[in-house]
Amino acid sequence: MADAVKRRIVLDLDRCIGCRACGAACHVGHHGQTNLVPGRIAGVAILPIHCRHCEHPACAAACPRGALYQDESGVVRRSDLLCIGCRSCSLACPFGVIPDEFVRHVSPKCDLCVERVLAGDVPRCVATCTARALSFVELKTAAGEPEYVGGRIQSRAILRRA
Amino acid sequence: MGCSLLLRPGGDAAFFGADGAPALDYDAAGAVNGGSLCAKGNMVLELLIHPQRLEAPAVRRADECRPVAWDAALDLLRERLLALVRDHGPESIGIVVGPHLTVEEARLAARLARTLCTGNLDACLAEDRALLSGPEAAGALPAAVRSPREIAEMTALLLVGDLFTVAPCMAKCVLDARYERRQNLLSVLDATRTRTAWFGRPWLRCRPGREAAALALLLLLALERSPEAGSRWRAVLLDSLGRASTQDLADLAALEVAAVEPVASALLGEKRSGVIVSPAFAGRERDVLVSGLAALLAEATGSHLLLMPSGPNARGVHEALAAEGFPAPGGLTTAEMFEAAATGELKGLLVLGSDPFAALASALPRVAALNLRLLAVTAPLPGETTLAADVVLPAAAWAEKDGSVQNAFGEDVELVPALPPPGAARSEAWILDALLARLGTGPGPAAAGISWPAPRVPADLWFEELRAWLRRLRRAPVVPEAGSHLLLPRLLAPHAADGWLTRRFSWPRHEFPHLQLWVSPAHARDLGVAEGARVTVRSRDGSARMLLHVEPRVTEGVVQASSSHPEVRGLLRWRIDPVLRDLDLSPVRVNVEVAGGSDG
Repeated sequence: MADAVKRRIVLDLDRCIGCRACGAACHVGHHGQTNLVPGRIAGVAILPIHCRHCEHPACAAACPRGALYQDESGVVRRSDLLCIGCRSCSLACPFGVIPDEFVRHVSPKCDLCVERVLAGDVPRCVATCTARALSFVELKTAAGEPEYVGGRIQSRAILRRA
Repeated sequence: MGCSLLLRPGGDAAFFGADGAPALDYDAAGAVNGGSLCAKGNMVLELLIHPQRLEAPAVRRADECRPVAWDAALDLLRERLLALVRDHGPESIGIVVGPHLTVEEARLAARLARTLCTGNLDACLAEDRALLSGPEAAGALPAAVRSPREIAEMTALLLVGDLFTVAPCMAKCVLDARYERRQNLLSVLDATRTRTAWFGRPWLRCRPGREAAALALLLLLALERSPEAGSRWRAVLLDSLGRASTQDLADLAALEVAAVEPVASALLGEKRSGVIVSPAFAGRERDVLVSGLAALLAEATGSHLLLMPSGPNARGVHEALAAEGFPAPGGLTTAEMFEAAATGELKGLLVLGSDPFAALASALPRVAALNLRLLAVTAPLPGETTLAADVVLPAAAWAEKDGSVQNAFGEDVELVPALPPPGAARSEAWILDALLARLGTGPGPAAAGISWPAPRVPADLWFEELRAWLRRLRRAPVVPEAGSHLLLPRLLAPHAADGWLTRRFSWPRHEFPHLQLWVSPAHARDLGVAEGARVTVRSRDGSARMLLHVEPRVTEGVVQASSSHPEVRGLLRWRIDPVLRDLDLSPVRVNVEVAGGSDG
């Protein structure tokens, strides 16, 4: 349990090819609901944007039904039963990782594939990543070594050619 | 491709609506994919328990397909095949196999053709066929890439086409080669800014449809630098190029010689270099010339060659049929079979594991269907071809049958069935076995033992085609044609999510609900419409309605739409390639008109 909460999904921008296999894996693993936001960068690339599972989640504070909550392991989760799809969490999220949902009236929310993580595995999107761009790393590593996600960004072809 | 995946019992029955459905997991030991799966791979589970799965044989009576028992369906098929042989001769029957068959099933199809005494057996592999046939047609003998690890260790790579869309799981080894070893060269030859082209350093952005000219330029530069390279075919190649200089070829491809030279030098100079060709290059013209020239380039520079077909077992089926000697001398290819059916020469067609109506999407199959007296299809899901079929036989899907396939690196991979096929569905091996048992020794006693020599495309035919193509380009570099924009087909993001099979999956339907036409922002401004507007695209050969998508990556004068969607394929120009005698696509010019209405 302790290991699970300390790890987060990190995207290496230099490696992502935008194949969206992560979105498909998320869709298959979450009852047909994709919890990943396909973000557009500079209008030319589609990259997945993941929930950060904030220490003080603004989405949970904004939820009028208490459907979003931080469990004892620190993962911010959503209750399917309580969520009414009001999109308050979408507006409150500072990273824009909770997309609007108009069909099922249940806001898509990354749950870090906790059942897999607790079994010692990695989230589905990380397992399926075709370019090894997504990794599931210790939080302190990601925070302590910012160059991990930004070291090669200057060489990113899409940003130079945008 | 031969990507491996794990299916474990105890999946989510509530989502898939089936009890005992397995759960998908990622096989980290997979030799090709190393555990990762593309969007299509992630959808495999949905194919197995799709609510539309065909579960019982059906026979058409009075414009309606009615379910029948296997014995009745196979007896009827036998009777009608024998009646056609009796009335019109064995050459009135054709057999088309698709990339969804195993190697063993392709060999059984060859046995059926021999039993019926027909030489008309061919694979419907669409673009993969030209890709796989190119090296042999050109007589090239390059070394082959044998594993993803080899790619990761290469210090100079040339990617032809959009490899990351055709085979996303190859991205990790290509990017390892790019990033983990400094000073590596990852060059991409593609006319459009695809997700592979973003990573190209340099990105050789040739003129759409002129990939063959760009490769000829690379080859010429390599031959100039290495006088002893390609001694077997050097003279005939130079003759075919018609004394074209490097500058001539650079002009045809719209490339700078100075930009291409470092790539040729690196491929020649580096000890570990590779050329990878995927069938998704934007121009879609003379695929067989592109793959043949890439193979010659690999041989001349001592690079390793990898051809990456998009069909699951395209390589296995292609090679199994060639080994069995099909299409036989005098036999018809897939395209010729449909032509013969349209003119009434071919009366019966047996389609195994393919949907040629959707894959070819020209008017030809539909005309052919009207004239056919028998159209029998095996398929796991209903498709365009099953709608027109007289006999529909439900087939098992990948994880439901055993046998072997050839993966992208030419290795045999054994399939392990994870669950039984639904209802009365059976594997093609079972179906062909049962049909062969009913046919006995076939209509002619000598028929069963017939063996034809392996079909070979004469190399001089390929060189002759190269010469004729270059001569035509140099004479009239710009083909005057009506239409305001050039339509370039492109593969959709989730790895051919709108292919004939994968269009039925829930994720592509959710993420890509409409057929989109990609236009540049300036083009959208000219049309006076915004994102989501309905437009009609007209080419000389057809029209299609699509939703507009404004995309900054699209260049002026070009529009793009998904290459695997039947409606888009219906817009493209089809011709029978003289080398392969198979259908070849060409880009066309189209007019875009606003159709009114908006989806918001």
